[in-house]
Amino acid sequence: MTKQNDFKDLWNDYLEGDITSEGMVKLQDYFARDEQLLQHSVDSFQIHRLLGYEAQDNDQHEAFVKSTMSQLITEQEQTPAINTSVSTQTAAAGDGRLQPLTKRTLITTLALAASILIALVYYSNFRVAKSPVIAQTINVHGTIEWTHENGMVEVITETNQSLTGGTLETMTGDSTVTMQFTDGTIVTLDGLSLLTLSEQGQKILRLKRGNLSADVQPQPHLKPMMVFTDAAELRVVGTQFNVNARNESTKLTVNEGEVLLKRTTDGESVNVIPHHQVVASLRDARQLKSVKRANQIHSWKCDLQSETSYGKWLPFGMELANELKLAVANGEMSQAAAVRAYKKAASLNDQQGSAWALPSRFGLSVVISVNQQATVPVVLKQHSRIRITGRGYSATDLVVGITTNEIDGGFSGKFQERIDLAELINPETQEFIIDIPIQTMSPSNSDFPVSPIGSEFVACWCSHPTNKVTKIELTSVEIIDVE
Amino acid sequence: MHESPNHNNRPIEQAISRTLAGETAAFEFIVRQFERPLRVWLATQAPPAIDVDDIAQRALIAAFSQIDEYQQGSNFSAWLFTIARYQLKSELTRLRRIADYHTRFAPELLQRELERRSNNSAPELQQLRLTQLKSCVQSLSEQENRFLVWRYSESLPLDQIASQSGRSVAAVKKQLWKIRRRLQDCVERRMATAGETP
Repeated sequence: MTKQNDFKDLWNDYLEGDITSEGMVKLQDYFARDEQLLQHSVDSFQIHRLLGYEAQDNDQHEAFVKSTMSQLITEQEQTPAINTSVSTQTAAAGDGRLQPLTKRTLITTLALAASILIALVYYSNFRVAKSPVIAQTINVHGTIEWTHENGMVEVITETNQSLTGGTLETMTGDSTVTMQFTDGTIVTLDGLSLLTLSEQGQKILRLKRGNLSADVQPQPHLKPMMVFTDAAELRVVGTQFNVNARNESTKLTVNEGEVLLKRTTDGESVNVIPHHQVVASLRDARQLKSVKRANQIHSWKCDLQSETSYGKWLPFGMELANELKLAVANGEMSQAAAVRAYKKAASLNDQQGSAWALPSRFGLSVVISVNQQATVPVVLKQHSRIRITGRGYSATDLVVGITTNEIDGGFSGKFQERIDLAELINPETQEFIIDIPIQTMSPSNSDFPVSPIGSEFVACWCSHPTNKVTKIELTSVEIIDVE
Repeated sequence: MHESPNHNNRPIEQAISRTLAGETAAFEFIVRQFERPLRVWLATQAPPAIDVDDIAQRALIAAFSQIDEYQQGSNFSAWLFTIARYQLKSELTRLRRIADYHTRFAPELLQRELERRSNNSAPELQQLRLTQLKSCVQSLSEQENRFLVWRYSESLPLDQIASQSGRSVAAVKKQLWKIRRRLQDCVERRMATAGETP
């Protein structure tokens, strides 16, 4: 390949966002050796940017104006009124004498005084009455508990519920709540998640666990929206992003704008740009890296040990050990024979195991979520199927559901299908195989899209609304691309 | 030299007076008037990983909160672009703190050259380049235009453009390179004719 072609390819990859870090070093080398090439490339970069700008439609320009004006009003509310002509004229005089008030400035002053008075009355009444409303639910599904600042717990079942500061908890795998803040910022919480929210001039969200998807209106730069998890803190001034928080790690995916993520363990931070993701972990001290999300795939097989986000993963060895202990206790086999049997089985594969559904007051469930480290979205196609194998110890109904996100976007919806396990369980082995075409799954809520096809698969769950079903264990979960 | 975005000062000065009198909504006129030139200028001066719209908004908000410092009757456009330059500089300072910026976002020399240009480039020049670019785009063939729409208006990934156009990803890249090159030559020719250098 000639040098010219090599440079052309590199430069193209750079403009298309496809360049590797090695490529970046090579580009730098080209520029260092050829000033004209550098100048020409900067011109080319500017043309590329102008083409991007020119492609914006009027709606985008209008959105910019509206968003700027709304930010400006927010900013003004937080810093007491800009200097009016009164102060300008006084300052301009510069001789320390107060200027006589003109009619206009007198009106302005009186108006200002009146508005301060009204604000004071309003504020004092508000404080006595209740905390200010900071958001309103706009979509609710499943079981959601709302703990008010005063500790009162309320179950949220309807939209248009006003929220003050407090804690929201989505209690089951199929639960989801979308709320809209007063500035238009939209936040969705789904799955088994716990979020504390407050807004006193600045939005502060604490995601203890679970999934949060946010479409954030521009925030004041001095008071950005902050999202705290155990492993990270995020600084957001206006963007669309998704966060998944687990016990020891937090995954951030940015779809629009930019989010600054700081790892809590060492304060290292990284700026995450669109179509990139980063995982901050309490255990991992390596350099934080924002990684570009790769092209989509259409099939996926779960690793139950790392991808069981709710449920209990047990290696086969442990199950076997329990069975053998029981056999020894019942006099069915000797201890030596049990140890031999255990050693033989354990040497086969200690990574194998199953995910057991856990009971709660809302029933029995197990949730499997795509690995946080995965950078390739699993996109559902027309002929995709979900296949779940496991064992059930009583014949009953089971709800199988999936959670999806928009491709390069936020939360999309939840889709489910009710399965009669009685028809599927093998009475001898208790094993079952559930195989569902994705396109037959129904949206859990009428506000969700009619079909999950074309969306990104992020999690699935199996649940039963009571604890009467004693045991369910999953041994594998797969998304199969039939084509 | 071409007219600055401030060529019609009267309505702008009136909007400033009303803003100073406490009428916040009057500032919308200024936002509308300067939104495009500001974003065009920033789009061409800001290196990658800088949110251009964010800087433009910061500049407009800073102008609003400091509007009493603007000397009425002088050049509002120049005043606003000075603020924008300052905002861009602060952001560039932030970028320098990103340890692996140059291996992730832009080669150092490219970023430095953009920074150098941002100190010297007149906002009106970028407006003019945009105008010339629009004319140049009109001279493209229908097929070339389709590629521009896919890439810039619809922001389709390259593999999708490849499948829609029936070409390989490499061929799509090459095609986009050719289009950009043609447009760049065309803009430079027109700028030279108009007596401006890029």
